[in-house]
Amino acid sequence: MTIVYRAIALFILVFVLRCMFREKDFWKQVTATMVVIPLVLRILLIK
Amino acid sequence: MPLSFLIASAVGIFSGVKWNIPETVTEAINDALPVMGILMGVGMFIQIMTLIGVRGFVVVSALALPAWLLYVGIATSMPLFGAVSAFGSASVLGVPFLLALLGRNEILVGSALSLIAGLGDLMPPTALAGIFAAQVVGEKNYFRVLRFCVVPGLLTAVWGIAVILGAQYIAGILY
Amino acid sequence: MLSFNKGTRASAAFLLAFALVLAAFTGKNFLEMRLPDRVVPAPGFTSHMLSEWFPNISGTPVDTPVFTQDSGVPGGSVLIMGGTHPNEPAATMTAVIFLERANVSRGKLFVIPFANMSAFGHNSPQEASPQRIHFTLPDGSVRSFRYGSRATNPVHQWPNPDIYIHEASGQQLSGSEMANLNRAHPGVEDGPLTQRLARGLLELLLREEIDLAFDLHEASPEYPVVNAIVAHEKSMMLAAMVTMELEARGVPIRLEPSPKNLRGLTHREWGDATATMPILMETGNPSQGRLRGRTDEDLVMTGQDKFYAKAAELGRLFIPYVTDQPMDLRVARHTGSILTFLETLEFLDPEIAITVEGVPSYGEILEEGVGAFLSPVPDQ
Repeated sequence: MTIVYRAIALFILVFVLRCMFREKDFWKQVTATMVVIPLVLRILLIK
Repeated sequence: MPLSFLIASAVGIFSGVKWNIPETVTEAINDALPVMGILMGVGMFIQIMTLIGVRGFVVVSALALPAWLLYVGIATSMPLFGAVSAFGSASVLGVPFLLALLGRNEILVGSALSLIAGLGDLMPPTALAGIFAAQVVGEKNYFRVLRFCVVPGLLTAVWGIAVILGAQYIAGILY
Repeated sequence: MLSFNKGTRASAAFLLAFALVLAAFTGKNFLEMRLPDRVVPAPGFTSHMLSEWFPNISGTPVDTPVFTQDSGVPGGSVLIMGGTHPNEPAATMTAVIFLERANVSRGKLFVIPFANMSAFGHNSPQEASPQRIHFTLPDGSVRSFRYGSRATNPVHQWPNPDIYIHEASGQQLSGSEMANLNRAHPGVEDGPLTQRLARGLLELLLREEIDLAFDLHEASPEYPVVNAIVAHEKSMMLAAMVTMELEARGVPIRLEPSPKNLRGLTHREWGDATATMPILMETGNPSQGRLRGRTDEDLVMTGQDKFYAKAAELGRLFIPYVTDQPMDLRVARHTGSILTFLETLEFLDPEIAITVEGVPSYGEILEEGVGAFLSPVPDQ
């Protein structure tokens, strides 16, 4: 079950990064940055 | 709830409409990013509020209101705190108010406070309910959606306070 | 060039690098919190893990140290458990005091200082809790203990359902309570981690035939069940005598019967499922309350808070609060209450009594502080 959960979080992270690299507005990139941090920590099961 | 969304999404695959999976998912995430950002920001904001003591200030100030003003305080402070987070409002303010109203039927009082806390989702700047509704109907300015929610919101607050005031009477009918 | 108006791949790459650096920095901090606290058991204690009684939790993040001291002299068995909720530090510290001071001359003593090890490894979001609390010992050295969360770490147990159904009774609670050890009893043998931990504790009680078991807690001063003993019907006679004795000694405490329709808590489930007399005790902790102001280690250790003082004036609190509620007082209350229980048990049922010496009294802890009764860590 945990592997499915981590896979879902990784899936979301990949697409957040895709949005971030396509985004033309710097501050929306900053929003995506904020979202990346907890996703990374959760995928690694740190927090 | 995630299962409901999963089933609905799976059914959509068989709708007969051709769609590009990566692009659709990217667009969905792109639409959701501002809301995710708001939630991140709200979480950080509540953390800082708790750290520096503003949370306690807000709660004790509300509890310090004279008895006759307490209900006005509940009806205003809980939705207003919802401008930060309705969930936060329920936790930060709802529980102390519930404790201050011990002696009335606590289930009904808790339910009424939950109802009033829910109004916080209409409060700008977060206004999650307003933002979502505006997104669904394609309206860029969510204030135009919120405008229609003012009267129902006020009525909801009044109803919630009425339930609190009449909790014992209502409990007598229900139980 | 980085422009604050325009988003480019370069700016995205820069922001991603920044995010990863921040994640690494904070991740290191979060992982450090999972390192177990060091304790210095008094001579006579042997160290075990709960999985020795319940292998289903072996190798999991909820397996927890259990310390036992058997005097070899026939008598009763007593369990002192702290750390069900790691954001209630006086409960943990009371168990640690017994672990580091107790000398059992009759009967057997079991001490579990950190009941929910997973919950010690993180803090609750949006609570701004400190990660550690510190005590200065008489020799000048400093001991630190973690201040954790009420709930099992979500990286160890996820997801929580929308509604948590208590398996033994069918009682429905909020889904987040699935991660609360004190709603998981009597536990589930092959359930989620928290429920398995609860089952492990039950196995300990059953196999060791524990006569009297203490589950130590703290509560917000604005909650009605605070500065209280909660007793199962089996424990009520003993608890009533102890309450009167404590009141006579100037320690205000209330006695609450364990509600039969609130399931999942130690004072109900341990009493129903075993021959043990369960006792749950609460003392007031401003650092976990909802009325608190600035949240930091100082608040945890001193309980000084101007908003709680204001709330006390408004009559919103259920404990006597003037300016503070220090850790020393809270640990003293728990320690003094346990010692009173042991004395009273001697009077009520000598066959299951145990004799414990070396543990500081209520007055001694108030006068000298908790730190005075902790042992220096070797090689620190």
